[in-house]
Amino acid sequence: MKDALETTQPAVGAVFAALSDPTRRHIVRMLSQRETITASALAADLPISRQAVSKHLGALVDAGLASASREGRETRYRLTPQPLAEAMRWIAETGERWDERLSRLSQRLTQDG
Amino acid sequence: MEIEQQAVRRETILPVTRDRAWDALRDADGLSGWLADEVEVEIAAGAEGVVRWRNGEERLVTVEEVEDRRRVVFRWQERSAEPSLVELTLDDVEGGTQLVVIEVPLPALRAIASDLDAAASRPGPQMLSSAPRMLATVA
Repeated sequence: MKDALETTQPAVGAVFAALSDPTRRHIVRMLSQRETITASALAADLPISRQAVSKHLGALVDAGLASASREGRETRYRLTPQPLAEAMRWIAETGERWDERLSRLSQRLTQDG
Repeated sequence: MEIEQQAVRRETILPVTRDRAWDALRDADGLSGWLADEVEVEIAAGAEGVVRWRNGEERLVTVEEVEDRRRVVFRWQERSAEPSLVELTLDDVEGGTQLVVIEVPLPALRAIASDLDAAASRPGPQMLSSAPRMLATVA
């Protein structure tokens, strides 16, 4: 079996994994509401330390959901929503395939009566 | 921007008894024709095989768990795509048998499993069923 690390398709699973954490989902929401933001500004609005926020931001960057850029002494984070679109496409396509499969199964069981 | 769910979940009521529904899950013959056009895998924990479609699509399958007349869990993966985990569960309901399908990309499941592990230190096959509930919305 091929290793997941060798895959060429977008890492949909990494996006889901990153968003499985409620704090990270909250940070994604906050990122979506502005152009860029710093870890300190996010920490001011969250009940967790700046260090914890930085760790979550790192996870989002790893999953391709955010990008970091240095401005003077600060790092500013920006939402990069493309992987979200890819994850949603996976959900739509996978769901559609199951709808087809379940309809084939129902049809067969009904015909066999 | 919204992610309503981070796993695919479908449910349907099959107008047959659970034994009849299980016949469609219990082996390659039962699964062939609806899960994929061709199914070549033994439905037993640890078994490996392949499923194919007429259009040439092919996925490698590894059976993870089988609970008689109740549940089949397998991992499948198309070449160069991420693996995902699929759980098929049967339940008796009025009017027949309910089939619940859940498919989750494997890396996502690992993340959930480690969260669950930390929270409850009781990971297990049931974690897949709880995945969609644990994964809420980004809205």
